[in-house]
Order: sequence, then structure tokens, then C-alpha cells
Amino acid sequence: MLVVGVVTSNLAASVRHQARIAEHRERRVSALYRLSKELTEACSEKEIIEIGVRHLHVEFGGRNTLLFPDRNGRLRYPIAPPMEISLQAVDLGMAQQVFTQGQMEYGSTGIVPTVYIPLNSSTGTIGVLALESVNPRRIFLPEQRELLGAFINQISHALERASLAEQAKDATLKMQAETLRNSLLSSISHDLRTPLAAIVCAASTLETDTGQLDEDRKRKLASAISEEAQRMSDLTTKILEMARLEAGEVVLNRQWCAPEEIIGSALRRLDKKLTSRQVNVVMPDGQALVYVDAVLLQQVMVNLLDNADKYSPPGLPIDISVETTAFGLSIAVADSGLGIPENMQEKIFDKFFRIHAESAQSGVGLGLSICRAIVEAHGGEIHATKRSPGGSVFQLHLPVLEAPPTIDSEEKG
Amino acid sequence: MKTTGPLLLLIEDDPQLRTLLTTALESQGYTVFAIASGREGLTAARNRHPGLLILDLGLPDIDGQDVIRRLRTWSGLPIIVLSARDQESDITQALDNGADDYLTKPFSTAELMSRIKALLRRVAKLPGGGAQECFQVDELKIELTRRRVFVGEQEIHLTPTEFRLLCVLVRNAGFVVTHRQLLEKVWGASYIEHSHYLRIYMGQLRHKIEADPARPRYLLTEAGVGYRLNMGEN
Repeated sequence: MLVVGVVTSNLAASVRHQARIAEHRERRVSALYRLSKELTEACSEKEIIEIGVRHLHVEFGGRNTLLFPDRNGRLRYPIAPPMEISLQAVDLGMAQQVFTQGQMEYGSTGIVPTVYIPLNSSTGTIGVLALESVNPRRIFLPEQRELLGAFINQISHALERASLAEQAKDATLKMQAETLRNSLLSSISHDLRTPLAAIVCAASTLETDTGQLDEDRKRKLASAISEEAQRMSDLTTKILEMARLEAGEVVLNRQWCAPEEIIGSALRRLDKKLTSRQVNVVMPDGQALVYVDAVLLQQVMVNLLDNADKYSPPGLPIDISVETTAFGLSIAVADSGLGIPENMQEKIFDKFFRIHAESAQSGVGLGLSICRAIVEAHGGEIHATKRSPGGSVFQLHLPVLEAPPTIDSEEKG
Repeated sequence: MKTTGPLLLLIEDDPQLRTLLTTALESQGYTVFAIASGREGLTAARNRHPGLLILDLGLPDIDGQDVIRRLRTWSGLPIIVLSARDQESDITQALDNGADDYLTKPFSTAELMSRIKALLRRVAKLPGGGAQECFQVDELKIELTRRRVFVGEQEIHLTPTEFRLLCVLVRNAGFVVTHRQLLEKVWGASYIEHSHYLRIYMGQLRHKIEADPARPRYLLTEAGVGYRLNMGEN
């Protein structure tokens, strides 16, 4: 009887154990299923990353972040503002090592030890997951390790798929760009020839004058030459700048600068143009240093402000707001003009694109492309949106790469 | 045309621009000696005792930067540099080598004239004038020896470093001072790479002196080059 009792109770325990294992297995399978279901619905890299970070957090505990390389193969923090569960204190050096070697590493520099796991796809390592190991059992138990591997696979594949889709889109865009080229060239030559015609005309009138022109007319011709020449100079500068940026020749000269100074020097460059316009600047933290190329960023501001001035009725204000956070620098330039039709909010950043191609507004449609090229060179993003009740907002975000340097304090004198 | 002003030496390799600039300068009463190459320019600087040099940076024979460096080994001749656009690094280098001011092409004759006049004025003031005691532009007043700064009636309290920074700009009022020059003069040679000191103190100074630090009236930024204390219309 005793034997029977022991056997049954053992059997029961074993059944319970089996049941628990089955239950765990089922839970893991359904966790994986939930992840993959959400991933198939995501279409952008940003969404995939967000979904990945969220599911990893739920299943494995601890904060985590997915790191991807910039154009030069250096891992960096994501541009999107971090979620609460995003891990921010990452040892980028170790992450970089994991990225290059494709081998998992365990870092214990922070308060909570962190695991760095490579994201492998068919084309090689595409990024690195940094995951806090709050509860090692949840990560390192064999079944959990397997599950973590499956999670990472799913995320890597989703990212690879998204990047292929992006490449296909790029290829189509390139083809379209090619066919556009001829019309663009003719548009540039038109834009350059018009002021040139005025200059040649005015100069030759002065040249062949036999004393018929009075002083006043001569002066008018001379100032026409000077104004048109200035216009040509602006255009050629823009074209050259775009060409330089396109050629990838631009090496950022990053320095610690105050946003206040960048905005200030941009406003000063446009002083004459903006005299009759109110420009409101909201900049609570204008002195906080950011690590950027001040000359290029000033150029971005000049182009945005110049546009805001050109495309909104005289007298209406322009609003600039600047925000510096631990994660980055955001600048918004808002006008009260006609606004940009929704289907053109992306297109306006394309080279030589103008909403009203035949309008008298001088410009070749390069200002915003230059802005985008500069912002992207900084690893940032720029977008245009509608402003209610009317007008447009141009908003740019630059990620912060390093904490600002400190200085020795000084006794007050 | 009657020419009475000091002799201006012009080194510019483009013949058209050389002729036009000569005409423009002569019409303002200056005597101009125009030269197409750096080497000849250096000889002329030695032999003709010009009062000011206008130097194009892009020369066919020797680099404009070299002309400045060689000249500075034996002469304090005031130099205005002419440079093509988008070359902040060239401008900064020229100023660090010892040029006094710069203009980017294209520029108007009026701009060139005002720079020449300001530079000649500064040179005229230097010998024997000694240290200036009081400096004033618009509302901003600085008593240099008493170390006091006023905006309007209001006295402004500056830290020693802020005051030193302001003084360097005052001594070069109206002219751009490069980041490197400021770091060296205010903090010392070992701080030349620590540009963030300059940014932080300049920000503090602006917040104390300017009514609207985002749209400064006195302490102007020359992006990528340095700072200039505004002298109004000079």
C-alpha cells in the first residue's frame, strides 16, 4: 500500500512537473507568437525597434535598447526619443566590440549587469541588443536563452525585411531622379540666366551710353546690376553647397556650441530681410551646449527662416522654439503662411522641388534639401507639418552623442 | 584723379577684379599699388612702405597664408584678406596667422571701404595713445582700469574671466577675434582646444550685457570664425 502510495504521489508530482513545463512552453510560444504578430504588421524600422524593445522588456525584465550603426559603421543611440523602458547607460565601446565580432558579451560596468547580444541577419550583424540582466534566470535558463534567441531572430528578420523594402523604394526614387535631371538642369539654367540677362542688359546700357542717361537712371542701372549679381551669388552658393554635401565631402566640424548663439547668428545674417517681421524666440535652455557643426547648423536656420519669410504674408510673425534635453536638440521654426499641402510635406525636401514651380519667388528649390542633408549628416531628422490654424512648422531633431563637458568653476568677482 | 590717402597695396591675381578694385579705391582718394603675385607682393610690401595690404588668399605662386606668415615675421602692416565663400577654416587660419580682418567674395565696395577706414583708424590710434581708459558703444560703457561695466545707468558685475574676455574684445573692437586667439589670451595657451570654455563664458557675458541674448547687439558671433564687438556703423 505504502509502495502504491509513493508511486502514485511520485507519478502525480511528475505529472504536475510535466504540466508546469508544458505551461511554460506554451507561455513562451505565445510570447513569441505575440511578438511575431506585431512585427508582421510593423512597416518601418522605427516601429520594429519600438515593438522589439517593448516585448523584450515584458519577457526578460530589465531595460533594454537596440543599437544600430551610422553610415560609418559606428553604433549609436536611436534617434527616436527613448521610452521609459529604454536602456540609456550603454557601454558603447563594448557594444561596438560585440557588433564587430558578432559574439555575445557580458558587461558589468553599470549598476545592473548588461548583456550585449549581436543581431544577426543573412547579411551579417546588423545591430546589437543591450539588455539589463535584472533577473539572470529569466535570461540565462536554457529555455529562456532559446526564447531570447528566437526573439532576436524575429526582430532581425523584421528589420532586414524593412531595410530591403526601403532599398527597393530608394532604387525607384533614384530612377525617377534620373529622369528628372534634364528638367532640373533646364530649371537651374533658367534661374541663373534670368539675373544674368538683367546684368548684361544694364551693364551694356551703361557701356554704350553717349551721355543720354541722367545720373538717376545710371544709378538705377548700377543698383540693378548689384542686386541681380547678389541673387546669382546666392543661387550659386546654394548649388555649390548642395554639390559638396551630395559628394559626401562634408566632414562635420563638431564643436560644443550654445543653440542661442547659432540662432542669434542666423537671425543676424537675415537682419535686413526680417526688419518688418516679428520673430519670437522661445529658448528656455539656450546656453546648454550641444555638439554640432555650428556653421552648417546656422545655414540650416538661415534657410528655414528665409523660407518662413518668403512664404508667409508680410507682417505675420515667425516663431522659433528650441529645446535641449538629455537626448538631443530640437528646433522648430513656425510661420503663419499658406502651409504646405499634406502630400508635399516630404517632397519639399527633394532637390529642386518647388510647390509653385513657375512662381516669381526667387530660389532653385535647394534650401530645404541642404537643410536635410546637413541634419542627416548630424544623424538627425527634419520634418514639415501643418500648423493650426494656419502655416507650417519645420522641426528638426539632432541626437546628443556625448554629455556636455564641464568646466572648472570660478569664484565670483 | 587726386590721390592723397596712404598707399594701399593690393595683391589679387584676377586681372579684372584687380582693375576694378584699383579704380574703386582710387575713386575714394587712395593711392593703389596693385600686384598679381605673392612674391612680388612681398617685395612691394618691403620697398614701397604701404599703409595697408589687401590680400587675395588664392594666389597662383605662393599661398596667401604664406604671404601673411612671412610678412608677419618682420612687419605689422595691417592686412585685410579677401576670400571665396564657405571657407571659414581659411579665414580663421588667416586671422590666426596675423591678418586683421576679412571679406568674403562677393563684397560691395562700400563694405571694403568701411573695413579699410576702420583698420586705418585703429592703426592711427595705436602709437603713443597708451591704454584706453574708457570704452563706450551705444549703452555699453566699460571703464578698463577701474574694471567697471555699465549698461545704461546699470552697473554690471562680471567675474574676472568674463571681464578679461570682454577686455580682449574691447581692445579689438570692431574686428573679429578668433576662438583660438580668445582662448589663448583669456585662459592661456594650454586651453586652445577647450573651446567650450569660450562658449560658456560668452553665453554668460551675453546674458549679463545683452537685452536679448538670442539677438545680441554688442557681442556678435562670426560663425565658425570667432567673435566681434560691434562698433555700430564703422
